[in-house]
Amino acid sequence: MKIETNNTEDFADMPPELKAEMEVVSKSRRDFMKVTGMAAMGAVIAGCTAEARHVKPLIAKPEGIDPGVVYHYASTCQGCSTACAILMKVRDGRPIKLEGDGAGLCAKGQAQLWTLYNPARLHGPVSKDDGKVEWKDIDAAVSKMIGAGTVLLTGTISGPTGRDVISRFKAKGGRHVAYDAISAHAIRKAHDATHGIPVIPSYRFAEATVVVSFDADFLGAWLDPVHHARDWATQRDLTFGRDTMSRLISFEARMSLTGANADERHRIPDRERGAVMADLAKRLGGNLGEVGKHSVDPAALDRLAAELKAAGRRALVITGSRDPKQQMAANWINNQLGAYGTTINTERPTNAKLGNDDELAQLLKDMEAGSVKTLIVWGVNPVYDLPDGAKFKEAMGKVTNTVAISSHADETASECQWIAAEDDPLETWNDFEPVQGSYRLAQPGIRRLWDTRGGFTSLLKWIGDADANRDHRLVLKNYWEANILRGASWDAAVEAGGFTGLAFGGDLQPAAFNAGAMSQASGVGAVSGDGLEIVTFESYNLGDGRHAVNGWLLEMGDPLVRTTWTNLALMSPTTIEAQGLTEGDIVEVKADINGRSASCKVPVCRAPGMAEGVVAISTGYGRTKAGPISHGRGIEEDAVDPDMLKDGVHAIGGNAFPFVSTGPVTGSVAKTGRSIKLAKISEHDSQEGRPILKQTSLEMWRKDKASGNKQEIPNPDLTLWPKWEYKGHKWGMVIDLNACIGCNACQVACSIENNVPVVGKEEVWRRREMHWIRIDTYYEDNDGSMFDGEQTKDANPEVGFQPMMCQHCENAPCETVCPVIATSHSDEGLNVQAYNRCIGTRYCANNCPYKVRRFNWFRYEHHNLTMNLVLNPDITVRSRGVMEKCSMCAQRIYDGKREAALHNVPIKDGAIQPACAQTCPTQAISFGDQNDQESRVAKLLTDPRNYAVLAEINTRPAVTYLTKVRNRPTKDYEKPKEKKAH
Amino acid sequence: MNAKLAVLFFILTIAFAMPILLGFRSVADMQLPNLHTGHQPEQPVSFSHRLHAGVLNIDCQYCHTAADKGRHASIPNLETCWNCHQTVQGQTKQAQERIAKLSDAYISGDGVEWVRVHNNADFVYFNHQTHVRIAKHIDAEGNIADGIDCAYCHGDMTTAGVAKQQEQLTMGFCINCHREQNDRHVKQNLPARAPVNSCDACHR
Repeated sequence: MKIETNNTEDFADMPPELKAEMEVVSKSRRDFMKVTGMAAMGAVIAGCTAEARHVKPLIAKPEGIDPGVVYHYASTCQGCSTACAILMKVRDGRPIKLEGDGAGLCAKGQAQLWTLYNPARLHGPVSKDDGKVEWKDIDAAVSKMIGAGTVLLTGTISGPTGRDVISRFKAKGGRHVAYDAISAHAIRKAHDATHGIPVIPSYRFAEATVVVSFDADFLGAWLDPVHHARDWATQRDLTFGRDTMSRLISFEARMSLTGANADERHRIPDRERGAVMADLAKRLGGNLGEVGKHSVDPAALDRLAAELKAAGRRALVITGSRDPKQQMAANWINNQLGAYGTTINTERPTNAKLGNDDELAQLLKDMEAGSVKTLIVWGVNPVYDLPDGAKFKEAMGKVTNTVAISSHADETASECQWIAAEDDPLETWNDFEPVQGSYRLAQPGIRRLWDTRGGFTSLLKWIGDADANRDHRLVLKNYWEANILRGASWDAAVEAGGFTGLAFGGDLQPAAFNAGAMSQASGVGAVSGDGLEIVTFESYNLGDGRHAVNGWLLEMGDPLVRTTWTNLALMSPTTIEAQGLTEGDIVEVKADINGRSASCKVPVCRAPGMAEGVVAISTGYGRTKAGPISHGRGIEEDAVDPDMLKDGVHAIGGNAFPFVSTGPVTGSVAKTGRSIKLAKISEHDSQEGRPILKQTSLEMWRKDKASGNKQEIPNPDLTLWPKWEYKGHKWGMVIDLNACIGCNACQVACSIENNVPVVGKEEVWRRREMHWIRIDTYYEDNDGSMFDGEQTKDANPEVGFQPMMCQHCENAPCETVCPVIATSHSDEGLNVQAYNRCIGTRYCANNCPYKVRRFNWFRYEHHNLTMNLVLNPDITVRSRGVMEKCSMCAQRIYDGKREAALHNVPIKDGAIQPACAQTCPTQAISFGDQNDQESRVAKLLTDPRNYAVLAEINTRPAVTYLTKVRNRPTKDYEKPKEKKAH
Repeated sequence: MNAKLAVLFFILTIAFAMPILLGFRSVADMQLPNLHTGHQPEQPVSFSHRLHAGVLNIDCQYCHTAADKGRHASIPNLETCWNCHQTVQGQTKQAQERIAKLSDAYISGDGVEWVRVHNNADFVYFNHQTHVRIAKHIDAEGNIADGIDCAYCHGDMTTAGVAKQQEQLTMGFCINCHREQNDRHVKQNLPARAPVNSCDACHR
């Protein structure tokens, strides 16, 4: 008997794999009975025997360390060069979670854990000729190469000890060049010119009342997004009686996270950016030369200039441009407004990016000329991430000796004669100085998994320094005690993860603005070029590419277009139409940049809010030697381009770095004839006029605190159930939509904390992704009324982000329909799911109005024993056929209760934090006991902005939201749109 | 012998032969999952709880050091054994052999791979600290004791030999105690904190 559905037309477009799956089930009923009978018998027999499980305790117990007990160690994040403070959660000698210490942590920072346990890392030193070698071989060979003509190429090294080691290397005749794949060199150059100090200042968003961003995605990727977001959100907070909000105005070509959170947003292609900045400067009384033709409404610029003047020194104008002239224009405006000293701090500059593009260009020239004898590449991947990667690879052929210090045989390392296998950042000691005068330490959270070595140790060994034979901890300790701590305790610094003090003679001197230097910025307002513009941006998922094979990040979903497992050619709907393309078409993007030709193949994706005639591609994808993603279940094959896989290349998406340039890039797109279906986490981006993400404008909110939140709920007390009584705690969560910036850090935190599996592109495509929390992105018309259509047609829509997870309803629709009571209401107001009771009917998911329940279609657990080390032992690894969902981090709730009971004190408000709330950079998520009248959550429940999603169906959720307030001219978000006559 | 009797005889033979075929000593050994009362696997070193906890009266937590610190009571590190046994060499030949085994494992650094006795299902999250350090136990007469006595779940180890599971340790076993203790706590105006209706206390 064939299954009926298999033959109906409804299932004609069923993917072949799914059909094959169904075929297996469609045996005859008799066969089925036979099979299940046998299986049942097998189960009974298996149940009779107690499988012998072995336990092997350590020979000697380290003092203060007990099995199964969690310890937190202060350290420093190395997911990018920003160096945020983190706490490593270590259990039984292995880190299982990284958390922000004080300011939250972004998705990439948390997800580095994947790399630590990734078996595709190098397991020992390698020689190109002989394969696996011994450390003594590589040391003997490389030691001979050090001297004049040796160049060390690295990324940003901000640590004082690190810089000291580099200077010892230089003393042996070597040369050091640093660069950043995502460069901020233009900012340093501009400050060198205008202030005489080559620094990237610290930006203080907490002081700013008006922020203008010219393509500086400070909330998403620019310099130090986590701290920027936290500071910025303090100016957007309307809880507990605060009633002022900063304004954010954004000028950008693509839709960035910053643009999506802006109160006013202007779409301009990159080539007009300089002109708009010059025009703004002109309206502020300056003259930066001729102002080219641009598309921004002059009235809007007048308004903006007036706003900036009013804000004065509390204003901040930033740009992410790689053009030093535009950076100088920004400096001029900031100086004119008096922002230096309040919102911009040059005395304590940031060291997040110390790369120097000019030195890099010189190095490339020297390599081509053959004057570089030895090249040591450490921690960077220039063959992949330089715009001219191919040229660099060619030039490497002219270098006599090539050595890499790398944890992976990546695109560059695999071209080198020797690779000194480097430790994972979580296996080694290191130090940093993220901001002048503020020092941080990184300590190992685990013993080395393989035969690897710290980069500094390798370098010291090769230059014959005695420190090479010391543990790097001692090298750091000696340097810190002599130069930084000045008598303060080293142990205390290790415990705190760092030390803040004025070690090197205090702050830098405030520098005066040199107006004369502005002549160097002449021509900033010129607009040149025409045609399709190609812009690149740092991916929210993979950053500069170092996280390229990270399952959590690949499946995270772009915050704005919600697509997973690839990068995209993002275009506005109009541009897609104008180019004769449809979403999913794989196009070849081509450009000719100063005689260099660049190309990459990526699928087209519709991106509302983009400037017309612009194609945006994110970096970090298209790595050809990143290795398999080590997960199993064929995900690796799913994710990569099939054409590439045929050649044995594991490449996910296309490489956008060749398009990186200091100026605007003009290019073209051409169809390749192939197309794919994009694996989107959400395909619908409109609320269709329903009040799901409630919003209002600041003016209206000031008049009426409940504006935008006037929904009437019929019979709020109507329920089929006896009223619940909560004698002890009643847990609740309040999410401030005004603070949520849609960064997705919560989603990754949740996946790591709760062993949420990575399912792969194919399964996402079948809508079987497993995230317990997702960010819903809604696009709205920008025209002053509620948008009720299916897809916004507005070219410059408003964007709203809403984290959505199990709402822990009091009248839970899921509980009513579970035939085996696998899901039920707890005494403390949570909707709990007992996996061991679940038989997988999926009735609950079907009945859930919030679509937050996830079903395990397969056994998703890791197939690799090393990767399994990342799993949280306090959470079940769910098996096939089981429903799962947000538990409000039950394990953390019980840990918190236990901790309080242990000391016989009541639970302190805020002591229990689910993973999502803990990591949130803007503290949008509050969790606590609603029964405790003094708790933050209980107080926020009485805020007139508080509402429950789908309150009209009376589910009475424990998770509620606060209306989003936009600081824009009055708009009534509750006013229905006038229907136009056809 | 008629056919019916023959079939019955056959079935009975199979019923008794099955456990032997499958490696059980008797039918009584055949139990449903998680009802391993009496489960006493053979250990690499036949450690006697009767001698150590009973005769010598060593406190449980001298060896199971983490019982008041976290989820696992922990199995002692060989160093703990070695503390005494570097001097205590045993009085019988049997004991000397066991101690020699232990010393070898310690000196060579190989360690001892013990066999787990209490095999709770993977989806059960029991925490020793909560029960040993935090909970109060009230007996039928109303006497309050700090911490649940180990023997309540593990039986009297002072008379047991090699470690053996003595209670059923099913969900019913847990819940019954939680209910009873909550009632007794309420009677004495103490906070009743043992979870009864919240699945996520143990299943997550």
